[in-house]
This record gives sequence, structure tokens and C-alpha cells, in this order.
Amino acid sequence: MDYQVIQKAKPKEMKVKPNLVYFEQSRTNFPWEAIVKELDWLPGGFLNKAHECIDRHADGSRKDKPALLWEGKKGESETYTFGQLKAESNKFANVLKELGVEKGDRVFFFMGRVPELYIALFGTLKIGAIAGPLFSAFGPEPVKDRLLDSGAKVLVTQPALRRRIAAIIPNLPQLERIIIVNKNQRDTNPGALGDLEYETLMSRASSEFEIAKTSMNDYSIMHYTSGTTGKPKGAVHCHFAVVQQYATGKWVLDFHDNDIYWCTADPGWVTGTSYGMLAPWSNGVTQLIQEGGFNANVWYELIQKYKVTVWYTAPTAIRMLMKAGDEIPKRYDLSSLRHINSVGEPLNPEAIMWGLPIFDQAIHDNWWQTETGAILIANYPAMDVRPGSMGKPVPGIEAVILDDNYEQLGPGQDGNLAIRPGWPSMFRTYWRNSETYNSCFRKGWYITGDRASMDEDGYFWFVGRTDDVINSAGHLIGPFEVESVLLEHPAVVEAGVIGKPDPVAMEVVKAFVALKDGHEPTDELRQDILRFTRKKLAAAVAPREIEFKPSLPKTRSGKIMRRLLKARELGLPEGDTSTLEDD
Amino acid sequence: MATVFERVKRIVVELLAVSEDEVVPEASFLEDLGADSLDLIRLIEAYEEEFSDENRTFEIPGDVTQNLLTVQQVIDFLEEEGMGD
Repeated sequence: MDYQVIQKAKPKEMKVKPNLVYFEQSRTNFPWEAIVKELDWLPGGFLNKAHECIDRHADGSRKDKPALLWEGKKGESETYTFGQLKAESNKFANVLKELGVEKGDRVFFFMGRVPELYIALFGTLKIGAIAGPLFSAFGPEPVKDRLLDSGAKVLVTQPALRRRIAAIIPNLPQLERIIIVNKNQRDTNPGALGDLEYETLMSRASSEFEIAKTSMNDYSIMHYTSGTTGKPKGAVHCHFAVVQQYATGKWVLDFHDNDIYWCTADPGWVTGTSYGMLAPWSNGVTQLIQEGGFNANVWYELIQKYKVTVWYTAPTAIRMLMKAGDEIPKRYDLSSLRHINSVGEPLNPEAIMWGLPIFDQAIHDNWWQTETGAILIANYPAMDVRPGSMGKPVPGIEAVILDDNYEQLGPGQDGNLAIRPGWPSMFRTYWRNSETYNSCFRKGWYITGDRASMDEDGYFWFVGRTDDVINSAGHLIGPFEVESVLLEHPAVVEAGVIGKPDPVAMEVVKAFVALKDGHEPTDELRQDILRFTRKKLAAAVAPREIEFKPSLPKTRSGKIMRRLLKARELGLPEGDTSTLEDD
Repeated sequence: MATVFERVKRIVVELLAVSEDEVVPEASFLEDLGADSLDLIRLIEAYEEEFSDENRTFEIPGDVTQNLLTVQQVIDFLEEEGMGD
């Protein structure tokens, strides 16, 4: 069904005038230099994200302004001003320096959303090391893959998470130090022999630190992302990315100085850093950090309690709010909300229409990826929303639809969504994998891996992935990563993993498994394999469903044909099966 | 006939792939049994199916679902709904 366009008031009639009004005019020939000049920069032309997000405010009029409002999962609350964040992140920079961490070293974080994560990550940036945040709901295998590939020297983690990954630690030869954050002494048995205590290290560290002279092209943050084949790839971003994180915070999230902003994403995914750290703080905005996870009552209560004005969340979360019903929001005052945004997977029109009366405004979908580092296509506050569309490219971004020969297609045609390279927050490499990096660029375009179309008026519409990567609750999951773990189970001989459509999460992981001789496809064995994968991968990545097959469809070269598994699962045409191995 | 606890335990064991011993009343799905928020939704759907019959389609109101975070909370709710008879 077609949904009506949600029309906006004229910008000057809005309660708060949006920062970006004339977006049609500002998209083409956009002078990035103007934005570059709005940043503070370090003397000598150096650039560091920690300076732009924290120190520049701490050294100026925002010194005593709250930067971080923390709501702990046990109901605790803490506030950090920009001045305090500067002092604390300086201390952590000194801690790392003392430990011999140098510019370019990788420091990884496997932590829940506690203030220490934010302090330690910015401390890492201050010494010029590369920060790598990991999703706190990962099991040991995804953590191992990422720590091994990155060659992380230091891991900052928490007691319960440390215990979850204890078995992989001996297999990480490059990992020199583990720092344990025992928040509020919650854990009575926090670390293992040889671990370092965050609190002790910080109590000895000076709060004075001179930020490393990092250039705009020096690496700052890396995020792992999944592909169809092979292990996850580390997409590396440089300090210059902050230019676009700052700009899109202003244009798309529409930050104003007195906003209270809440991004619900975990920093283990790119949204949680680009928009849960860098965009709000480079704009000097106060943000709420919630340690706990989704709960409809808690979420509405937080909006009311903190008078959240700008909210950035995800389609799965919105659909979970829908499922929890319309009665709960009526009990809370949500009138502080001025602007709501969503990212992670396409936001379905039904969710936008549901949100209209609940929030008294449209939810604004936008599009970007780990690789793009910042929002590239968006619905802005001043723009009419076409429910189901991801919006239009942000200023300075040239987005097009290409056919499979990378030639441009006209409006209304489905094809490869591609972006003209050169935007400030573009990833600079995949860690130690420049070959795969180079393969993302064709005929002068960055090929996103997403299929989309553009309508006559320039709105973009998501169609699907061009590869086998699974999008579950906004998290990209590489099928190979899951299949590798399934194959470690003693009864499994073949495994193929697909994304099965799901009304809440968009897709869930479904595995097809063939058993070794001597094993029977029983319910007990299915449970055993499920348990095995959930222990190694954790719920967010492990299969939700396992189906036994006598054998899996393969090409003649022995590759499992996931496409065929998916077509059969969904009852769709099987397409070209000429490469299928004869059984 | 199986008790409410036994029926809930069977569902939890099957969906979360945990062992029966782990499904104690005080266990939290998120903290102790490795569930995520999507699992919580799947669990709700499974209770609804389990406790529906030809005479009654059992539906758990959305605002109640937000408070079913431990095994005991689920059992208490189901018993209050008369499922223990």
C-alpha cells in the first residue's frame, strides 16, 4: 500500500528552526572547507577527535556543561561535564602511556555502556592509538576473531565479560594487557591473575596530558563489519571523519546547544560511536547514556525523566515499542521530544505511521554504513517524509544507482547503491586487507553492497542486500562467521546460514545443517547444536533456528549455495542453478 | 499434568538452549540465561501458544510483557491468569 507523504510545517513556523533548511541548494557543489573551519584543530594543523569532542569544550564556555548523563542498570545516575571528561580521559591517556602503548597501537573495548568506556576510548584517541569498540553482547568467538585480526595490544573490559571470554585469552599472543573496570565495585571477583585494575591505575594517573599530534589522516577508530565470505573486516576511520560526524549531527540530528540527546545504539556498532560519542560531543551537546537494554517502560521513562529532545534509535527497537502497545506511552510525558531518527535497517512505513500519534511527529529514517562512517542519505527535519524512503543525500554527497556494469540507471530502476568517493568520513582501509578494500571501488564509485532505487524527486528507497550478509536487528552478521562455528560441532559436516525474514528484527539467522555419518537428526541434537553456537557466538549472532538436511546444495566447486537455501526456504524461484552439483 | 513451572521450563530450555538445571525461578532471562530482547519476544509468543486452547486464545498484554524478565515473574503472571488450575 502507498502511504501519504508526511508534510512538514515551513521551517520558520517550527518551534525550533532546523539547522538545514535549503537542502536542495546545499547538496551540490558543497564546500566542505566551510565545515572544516568550524572545527577547532590543534596548533600546527593537527587534528584529533578527542580534542574536537571534549577538550575544545572543556577549555571554553562549555567546561561545566554536562556532557554525559549516565543511567546505570541498577538505577544509578552519574553526570560528567566536559571539564571532567577532559580530566578523566587525560588520566587514561597517561595510563596507556605508562603501559607503553604507542601511536597506532590498537586498544580494544569489550564493555557495556558505562562512563569508563567513553573516558577510556577518548583517552586512547588522545595518545594517537586506534580504538576498537566491540559489541558487549558478543560471545567469545566473535571477540577472538576481532582481537586476533586487529592485533590488539590492550583490552579494556568488565568482570562478567572477562569471564565470558576467559577461554580465548591464552590464544591471543599479541594481547599484552587486560584492564578491568569494576564499576562501583559491583563484582567481588573482578579479574584474573595478571589483569590490571582500572580504578587503581586511574587513581595514580595525572589529569594533565598533551594530546598527540595526530594528522587528519591518522587512523583513530576501527569497527569490524561482516561480508559474505571470510572473517569480519576491520573498517578503519581516521580523525578527519569527525568533520562529517559533526556536520551530520547538525544537519540530520539537528543538534542545538540546549538539546538533551539520546542514542540507543551500543558503541560496539558504528552508530554507537559515530552518533553515540563523536557527533553529539563535537557539537557540544549533552547526551544520555543508558547502561541497560531495551524495555518499553524504562525507555519512555528515560525520555520523560531526562527531557530528551533528540532521539536516535533503530527500527527493531521501534517495532518492539509497537509490540509493547499504545497504553504504556500514554503514561509518560514525551512532549520534550523534538526530533526522532532511526537507522540500522529500512524503517517500514507502518512503524512511522504508528509513531505519528504516539510521538506527535514523524520518525526520520536515514542510511549509512560502517564503511561510510557517517550518515550519507537522510530525512531531515525540514523535509517532507515519504514513509519507507531513506531520504535524500546529505550536502556534499553524490549518490547514484548503478547497473551491474556500474553504469548509471535512471529514476525508478533498482540497482547498486553507489557513492562518489571522497566524503570526509569515508573508511580508509580494511585492516590488513587492502585487496578487499580496493574491490569496493568500481569505475570511480564506492559500491555499497545495498540495492536501492531513486524516485523522480530524488528520494532513495532500499531494496535489499546484493550479498548474503544478514541484517538482524540492525546488526550485520556474516554467514561465514556462523557457519565456521557450526562446523566446529562434532556432529556437523556441512552448514549453510541465511537471513530468514522476521517481522520484528527484519531477519533472523537460520542455519541448515547436514550431519556426519552416525548422527541422527534428533531434537536433542538440535538443542545441543543450538547450545553450542549460543555459547560461542551469543544470542545476537547465533542461529535462532536450525534445520537438518541430508546434504546441502553446492556448486561443483563445493561451495554451499546459500542463495538456493534461501529461495527454497521462502518458496521463491531458484534462479540459475547451472552451477549446482549433481547429487 | 505438568505444572505451570514445568511448562515454562520446557519452553525456556527449548528456545534458549539452556539446560533444565539453569531454569530456576530466580533466573533472569537476560542476565543468567543468555537471552537478548528478541528472545524475550519469542518467549512471550511461546507462552501464548502453550497456554491457548480451543476455547481461549491467550494473549499477554504488551505492557505486561515488559515485566516478564525472570522465570518467577512469568510463573506468577500465568498463575494469576488462572493457568495453574
